[in-house]
Amino acid sequence: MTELHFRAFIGEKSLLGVVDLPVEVRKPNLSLVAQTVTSQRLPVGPGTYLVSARLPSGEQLYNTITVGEGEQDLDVELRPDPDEEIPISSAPISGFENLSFGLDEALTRDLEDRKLQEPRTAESQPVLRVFRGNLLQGPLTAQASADLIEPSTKPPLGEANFEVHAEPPALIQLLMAGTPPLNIMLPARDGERCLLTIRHRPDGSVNAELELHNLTANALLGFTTRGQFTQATALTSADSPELISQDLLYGKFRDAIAACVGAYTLLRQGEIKRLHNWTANLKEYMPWLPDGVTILAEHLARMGKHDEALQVLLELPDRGLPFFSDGLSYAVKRLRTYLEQGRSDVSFRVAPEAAVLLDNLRRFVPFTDFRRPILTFTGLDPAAPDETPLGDDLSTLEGLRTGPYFGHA
Amino acid sequence: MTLVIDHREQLQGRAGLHAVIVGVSAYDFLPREENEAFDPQLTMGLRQLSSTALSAFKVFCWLQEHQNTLPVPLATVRLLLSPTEAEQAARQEMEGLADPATRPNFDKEAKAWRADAAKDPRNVTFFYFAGHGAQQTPEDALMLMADFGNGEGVRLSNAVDISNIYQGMAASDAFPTMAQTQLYFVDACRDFLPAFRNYKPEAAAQIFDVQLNAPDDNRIAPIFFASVPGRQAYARIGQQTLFSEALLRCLSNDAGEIKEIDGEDRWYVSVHSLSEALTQVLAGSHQHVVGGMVRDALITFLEQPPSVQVSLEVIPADAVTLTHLEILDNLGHELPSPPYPEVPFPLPKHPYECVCPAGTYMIRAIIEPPDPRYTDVTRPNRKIMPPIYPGKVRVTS
Repeated sequence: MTELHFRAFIGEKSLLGVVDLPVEVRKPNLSLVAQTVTSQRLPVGPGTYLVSARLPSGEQLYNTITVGEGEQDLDVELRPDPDEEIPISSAPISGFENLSFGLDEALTRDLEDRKLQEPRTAESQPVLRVFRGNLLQGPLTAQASADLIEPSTKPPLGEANFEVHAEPPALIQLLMAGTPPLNIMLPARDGERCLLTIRHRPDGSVNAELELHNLTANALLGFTTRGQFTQATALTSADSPELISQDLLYGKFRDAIAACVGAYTLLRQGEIKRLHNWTANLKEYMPWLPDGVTILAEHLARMGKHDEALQVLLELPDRGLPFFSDGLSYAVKRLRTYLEQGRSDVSFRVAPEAAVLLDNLRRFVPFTDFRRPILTFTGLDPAAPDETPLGDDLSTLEGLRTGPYFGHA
Repeated sequence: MTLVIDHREQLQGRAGLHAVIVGVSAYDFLPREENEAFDPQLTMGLRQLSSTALSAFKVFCWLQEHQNTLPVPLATVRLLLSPTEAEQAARQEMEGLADPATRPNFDKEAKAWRADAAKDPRNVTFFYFAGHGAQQTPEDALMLMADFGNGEGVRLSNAVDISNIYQGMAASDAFPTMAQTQLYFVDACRDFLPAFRNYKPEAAAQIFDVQLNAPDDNRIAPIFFASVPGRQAYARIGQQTLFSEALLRCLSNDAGEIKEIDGEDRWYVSVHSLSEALTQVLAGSHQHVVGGMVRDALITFLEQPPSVQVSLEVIPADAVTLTHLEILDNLGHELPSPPYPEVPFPLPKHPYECVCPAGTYMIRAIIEPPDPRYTDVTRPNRKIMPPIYPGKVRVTS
């Protein structure tokens, strides 16, 4: 067998070490031979193969190879089709390079929600502010935006990029005239950053997109959002240690947020056995992480350990609202089930507490955009979500005015 | 009559596919005319639908016509339809075929369906609902039955929560051998109607007694929701919902994938290929979301390679009138037309669109007459996979 080594390129830029991508290897009749990821080697027999790697935005990188008898190793360079142009939206911000891995293609087709009159003046551009605190039991305070939001100096035309420094639990709020304020949870631990990109669309509306620091986790969210579960499975398979590695079993979390993304994907796929016991480690060792609670609770519930699952869920108020939409969805579902059953095997003692938590979480549900994997909901007061649009005059609202930071011709 | 297909006796206990298909267009207690008086407290602002029962009927027809390509034999189909008069006129074979989709009828049939499904973990289930709906999270939706708004019981007593169905179908002490492959399709308008904003799903009809699941609920059980939470589903009035149209197109062709199965390369549709294809097919017009547990599983085989919608674009556009495009086999040989497309020269429309069987091809562009600004190009190994192949050919050197 010959081992294939994959290297993905966009232009002259190698993606090795930047992001792991799902790879397909097919015979010339298109029959799928194997799926793996670019960081892993793949043994194949002699023959001709069509090899491709998929970006979450839909573009593909290609190569066609012929493997001879007795060949040991073969380097496979995967590059865009010469007739395609894959845009590289490079906005280096302190080393955080934004390649075309955004989620916007899946989420920006609906133009009705965020429609604005042409926001051409700096005064009418969106305003950003950051909140820190516990959305479920308080307190929640607005933070000085200038300390936490670092704009890019050279954004592309019609776009503004910001590095948002997290001091969890935290969320970023986007204020735009005529629309309900948009609150996006910041999935990052203390000292980490997320990249916020705000883009003007041709119709004058604005799209806001938050990307994780870990590009492979970000790619995984992109694939899942687009219903590309084959690619998502490849990124969380045993062959792809970037997100789910043996280290997790020993409580070693290189990137707890990436582990969350991997865990939610495994839960969605029903791959419970691959969660082992590290979901308990995630919750225990990361007390700042709300999703540690929701992931462990869902894991326990799937294993039939419902009393334990409920006890874990009741720890959520101390940590706050989950960072990811799946966390909110799972928590609401399980609490509903346990309270509806009113069963004696689920403790009566905690039922009132569970009911209060369910009511608290349900306040967010009608105003949450479940298309977005990172929990996003509307409301000027993030602790009291609603869908009341702002007026046209944002001048009285404190925050970072984004107007000067948009790229211009 | 509701059990419209029953092959259990022929199967003699072997695993099979058990389906329940529900389509509601004619709601007994919702206004029929524009100015008809109605009680908004009961009707929540909803009106009759025009294509959902017909959509459910078409899904039933698809199952019936494709039963030989399913991974297990078709065992039972339970059908509940509440069509409008216009829908009945459009497809007269619906008349008398199925009982109305009221909540008591659904209750009875769902329980019988579950009992059948629970006989063998190798069984497969297929659940499809089309009608009015409302939603809370991506894991649930309310499905409104034909007698919704009848004023009896609480307001949601004739609405069913998909979450109750989903959880009731988990393996448990009562159903230890429950089917482990379950497909759910909820083709409903899931808009956040203001009247539904504060509803509690537990007020809806509880069809199943849900036992908290046995250890290791690791079913393959995706739920394909027709519309994204908080968005309205769309339909071609009096014809078919966009989602059901896309679903049947994908199941028959557009979600085709190929790999070796039992020693032979075979085309098939699976949970994962269906999810991805629906995203592409519905793009721009509609959205859908997949909840539940989405491990991959075979849904149906395809009897022949799928057809692909091919779009060929010449770059730059100035070269279009000079470019003769050809689709050849991967060695550069001409292909017989039909089924392979013969691309006319000059192109009557640009980008040029045609249909081609899935496969690997060479695309060649010849500049006629030669022009120093442009160059002939040959592109081998073009992987033309369903549903759509957006091909670009750059003829500048």
